[in-house]
Amino acid sequence: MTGALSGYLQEQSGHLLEYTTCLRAAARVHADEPDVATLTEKFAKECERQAERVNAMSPAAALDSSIQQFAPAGLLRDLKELCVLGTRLEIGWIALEQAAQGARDKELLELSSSARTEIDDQIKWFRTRLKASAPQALLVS
Amino acid sequence: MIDRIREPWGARTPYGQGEHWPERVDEHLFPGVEHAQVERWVPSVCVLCSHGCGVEIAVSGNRIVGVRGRAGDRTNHGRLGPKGLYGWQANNAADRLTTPLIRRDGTLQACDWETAMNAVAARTKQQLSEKGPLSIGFYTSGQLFLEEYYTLAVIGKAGIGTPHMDGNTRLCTATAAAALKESFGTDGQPGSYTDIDFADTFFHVGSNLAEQQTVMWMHCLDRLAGPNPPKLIVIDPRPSPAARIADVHLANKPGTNLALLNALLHEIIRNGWIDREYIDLHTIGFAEIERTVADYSPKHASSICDVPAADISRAAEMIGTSQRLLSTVLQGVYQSNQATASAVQVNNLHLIRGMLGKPGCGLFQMNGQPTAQNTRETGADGDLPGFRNWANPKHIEELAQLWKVDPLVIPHWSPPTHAMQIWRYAEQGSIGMLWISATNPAVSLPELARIRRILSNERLFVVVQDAFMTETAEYADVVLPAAIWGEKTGTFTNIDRTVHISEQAVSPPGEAKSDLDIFLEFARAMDFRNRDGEPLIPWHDAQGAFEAWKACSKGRPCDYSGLTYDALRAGGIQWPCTSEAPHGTERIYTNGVFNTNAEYCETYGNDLRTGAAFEAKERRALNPEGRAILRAAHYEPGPEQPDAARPFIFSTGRTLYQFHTRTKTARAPELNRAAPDAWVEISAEDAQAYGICEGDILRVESARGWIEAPARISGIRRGVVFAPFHYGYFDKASDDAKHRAANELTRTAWDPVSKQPFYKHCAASVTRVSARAGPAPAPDLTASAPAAALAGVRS
Repeated sequence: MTGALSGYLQEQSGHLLEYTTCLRAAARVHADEPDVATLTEKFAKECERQAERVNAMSPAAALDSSIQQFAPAGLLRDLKELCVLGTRLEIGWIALEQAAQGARDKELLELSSSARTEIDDQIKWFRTRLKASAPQALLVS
Repeated sequence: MIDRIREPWGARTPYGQGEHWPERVDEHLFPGVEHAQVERWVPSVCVLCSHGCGVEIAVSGNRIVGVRGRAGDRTNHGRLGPKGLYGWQANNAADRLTTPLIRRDGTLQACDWETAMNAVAARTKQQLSEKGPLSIGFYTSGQLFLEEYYTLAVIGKAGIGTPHMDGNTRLCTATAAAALKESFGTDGQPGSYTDIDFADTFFHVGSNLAEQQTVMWMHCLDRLAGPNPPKLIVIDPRPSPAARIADVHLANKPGTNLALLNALLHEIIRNGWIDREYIDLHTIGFAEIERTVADYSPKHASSICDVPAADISRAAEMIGTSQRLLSTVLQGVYQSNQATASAVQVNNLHLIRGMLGKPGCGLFQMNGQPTAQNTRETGADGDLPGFRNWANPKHIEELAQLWKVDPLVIPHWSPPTHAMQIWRYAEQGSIGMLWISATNPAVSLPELARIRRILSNERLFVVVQDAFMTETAEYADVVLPAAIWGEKTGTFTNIDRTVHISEQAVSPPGEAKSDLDIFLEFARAMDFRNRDGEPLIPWHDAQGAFEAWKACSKGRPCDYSGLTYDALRAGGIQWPCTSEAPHGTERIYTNGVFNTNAEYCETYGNDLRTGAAFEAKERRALNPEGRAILRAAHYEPGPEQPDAARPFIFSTGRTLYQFHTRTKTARAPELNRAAPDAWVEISAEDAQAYGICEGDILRVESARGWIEAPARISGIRRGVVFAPFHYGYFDKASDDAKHRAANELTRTAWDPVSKQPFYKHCAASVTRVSARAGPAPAPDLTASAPAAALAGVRS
């Protein structure tokens, strides 16, 4: 593994950790929105499994943990924030999938492709929920 | 005459495969009333389950005095179930609401219609001017007639322009609709009741027909009693009457349906019991389900579901080698973990075996209520009228043209808001007016303490439209007294798409009005106009509403355009009914062409795991070309698992003799005597471990609330306790009576796709409170039969 690829994995691991922390915080803050709480918790578990595999591949990756604090700002803003953090991860997985192909690294290829699909599904849900919530949040609340 | 409480399914009339189901006319007249006293028999349809039995109402002196089945009706061939035979007595109850009520100085007081309707219209106008249409919500039912739903849908979607309209159908059939849409592109039941005549295998998945659709079960029983009876496979954690006589009964752990169904498909695919040609020509996605179910060997599923692997294999073989498979699915799936994903697996089963659209190959994603199908068709729930797609601008344009309004008036930025979210908005205060018609959420929604809190919030203006002073009506600001079945004319549609007309037999009591007249009066009071300045709703009666609905449904799967009231007066007709098919259509999808194309479908689909909506471009890329869509998902445990503090899985459900929150059935003496009070079912093993005897008072407690009720030691599986959800407190004086409502315990949580709440599993503790003389008040012929009585049946 090149230093650049290893560094990129390390960065992806940091993003995963940050995203997972925010997902967990959202699950706590939005306990009264059962769908949000259940799914953010589920997504957090998925991301933890992704992180375990990244860290197994590049042990240095686990070290980076410069995490921003998640500041809850109402459901609509939180959904947007999670969507943005998820999108950053998804783009990261796209880059890693490309590199895995170039490196003929089957393990990384499988991880990055399945992880990207997983994150993409998560983002789709945030978009769905945000689209349903926005009018009520911005017009009536 | 036999006692239909003690013999709920009556005498057998056995018949063989492909033969005509014999007629048997069931009748009940009020004790002391003679035939000669009946002035007229008025044709109608039973409204106490989704089966839609043809019935005639006996009238004497402007009172209903009895009923009898219609021998020539295609659904029941003359039969009626116990609820149909006795339930009509609610119409004559002394405590019917007969005048509007309005809250003054904290109490509900009688008033005239003008006062009540002015109050409702004034509050509506105030909400609209101060906060806009999104501050108004409607929560309706599966009990009104088609004409009423359609009128309500137009008021909500084009008059007020709010997306917040749903029915209690969200609690009972939302998953049926969601699963049909995912697989076949739109809602619409593929089967016909005549499939029972031809089937060689019955597969009941979380569907207790014997208690919920008693006449459909009589139909099945008559086949089972005839020559070459069908095989019977039942999935149910309780020993329902069907489970007790099944060839295979899979009593899986609640919440594990998907693992079990995945295993059945695994075995069927592994053994090659599939129709490869049908799969290739008429479906897409087989590789996905093959890949997904590959992990679910019977042994693996057995470890999740806690049923013997050999039973799973045996059930799979019976299903896999059947030639004509009939399946029914209901609340055991719909109100449980991974509801839509599980219901879709039953669709998949029929698709990969090529068993759809052919005699005997009936697939019934059942409904619970008599008119739930119409709530969905007309868009009085979380759907748009005519199974139209909220995300398809052309479909919205069609509605806009029909109603002559700007398409932007019709909310379509998302699916119409589901009931659980409507209640959440009411809780948060963004909905300030909630209009509840013909349903009793104070007993039927999950987590009742929360529902009471929401309803009693002074900022929420609550309108309740009902025939009785329900637990919910107690919280209303305005109560509107409604006429019910037998007191108004209209149509409704059962689970094999049979549309019936139900005629008015008697006048409503006092000043009660039909739901249609109430909605029309509201539309007039609000003066809703279309863009040409004409009244938005030009019709004045049920037939006018029906004609408007015909135009709305034309060209859609539920096409009523060929129907007329006159034609329906000759008997029920199955939609689609068009100029090309003037006598209706017995089965749909007979040619293997489905409604999945992007231009026609009701939804572009959802991720079964999360509920995320797919978009138009994704459906176009899928290019279904009329093929059904096979989708699968992995089993995931439900979110609330038993632990040391709450070691039981608590499940709710129904009993044969009661309907919903007993608003009608508690007022029918025979039915109420048969199941007069709440109980809790517990297995013999658990009872022994806890030192519990039959009839002892148990306290069952979840993280949300508690109930106390007598123990019925039944054949339910170990680790599960069950309570019927019917029992509220309208007929109990003390406040403690709240603690017999099963929904005190249930959770505010729902399936990600159908948004149907989970009623079938939450964690609970069980404590023995006191001893009691005598057995629990639970019926003993049904799934609540005492364990001791079952021992003989099972040996």
